[in-house]
Amino acid sequence: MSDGKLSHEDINLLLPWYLNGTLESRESTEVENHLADCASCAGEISNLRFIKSVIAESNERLNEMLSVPAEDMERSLMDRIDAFEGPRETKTAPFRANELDSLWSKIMGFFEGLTALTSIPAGAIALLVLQFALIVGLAAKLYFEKPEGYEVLSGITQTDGKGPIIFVSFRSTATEKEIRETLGRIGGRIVDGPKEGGLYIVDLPDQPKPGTTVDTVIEELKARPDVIKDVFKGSD
Amino acid sequence: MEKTDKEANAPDLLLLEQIAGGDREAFKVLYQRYVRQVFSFIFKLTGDSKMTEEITNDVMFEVWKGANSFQGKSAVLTWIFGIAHNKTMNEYRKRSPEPVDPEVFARVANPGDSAEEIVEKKDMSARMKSALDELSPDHRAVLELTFYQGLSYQEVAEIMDCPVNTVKTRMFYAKEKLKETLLKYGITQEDLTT
Repeated sequence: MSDGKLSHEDINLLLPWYLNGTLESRESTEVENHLADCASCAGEISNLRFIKSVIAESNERLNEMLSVPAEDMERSLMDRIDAFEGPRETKTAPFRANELDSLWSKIMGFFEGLTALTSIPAGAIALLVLQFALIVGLAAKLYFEKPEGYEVLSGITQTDGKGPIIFVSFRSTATEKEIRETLGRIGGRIVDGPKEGGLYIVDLPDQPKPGTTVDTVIEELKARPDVIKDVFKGSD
Repeated sequence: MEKTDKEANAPDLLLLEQIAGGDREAFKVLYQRYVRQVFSFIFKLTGDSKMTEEITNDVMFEVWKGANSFQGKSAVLTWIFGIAHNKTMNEYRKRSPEPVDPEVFARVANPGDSAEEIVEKKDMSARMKSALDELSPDHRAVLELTFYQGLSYQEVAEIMDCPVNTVKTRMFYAKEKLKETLLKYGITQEDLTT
């Protein structure tokens, strides 16, 4: 070690990575030089080759056995992403700064023409009109969008105007198609999960069919024990 | 070899940039590229296919959410494996995996195999699995990442979130333990060459 060279022990610890070819060239050269003179390390390389082939063989056998349910998994992941991104889409709409600038300059162009007739600055008029439009828009939204909920017996978690949520876990034998059909029948949408115990959060429509309650939805799901493992209300 | 890795990572980085901007198509490409490797890696640590499926979903979801926090200090795959390792170990601590039924190893046999060959393959696969199962998840991870994924000790350290010296000593104990269990289950070099 005193001359900066690696010790026998250091070299021994590096052998696995010498074998997989990822050592830096300086380390690799040192290992090679050491192997020429050290029978013990040369023997260890042979052992490591054996271990490497065991790992490769076991992987090969496992990969043949395992069928990664790629399509199902991808669909369920994309649903999860949709659920995660959905509420944010309106906030983070791909409305780039330069497009916003362009719109603003068009509005300003219109009001500049208008202010030629008055003494009020164009920006002030534009802001006033936008403010007015915002108030009218909000009032209309509140008036026309009557929140209709479920006939909730116990308090159900309800956030941001979305429907109530329930927790659902699925049978490991249930197919993606069965899950989709079952959730489609109740108008449910997976918004998060799996949580601990394989539970998914399912968002129910905020405008349910007449006579539908969270309880009837749960009963409907329970009627499919081949697909649904467990289901309960969001507030329980 | 290093250069090849770097070249392969260039498109990954581009994809990740697009993913950070909310591009789902780019995400699908990255997903298709690595889901099998991630799934396989997690399965090696848990031996539970249901658990593996759930963790893989979590990992790829994390990739979507965290794409904009990727700092480019490592290869994209190293970063993904790091998430996978971390999530797997957390899950492992929370619940015991349900090990795969050794019977499923029978499926490894090819349709044209004779009855003797089937029995032999099944037996060999089961013994190999038993030998690897006796290792701790950390030991399995270090062997898997080095010998199957072909990663450097620095990359393994990053994935396992530990110092490089820890990786080297884990490898030392992992291979010693594996030598011992291979001997115990009667697996020799000749078994693998036949």
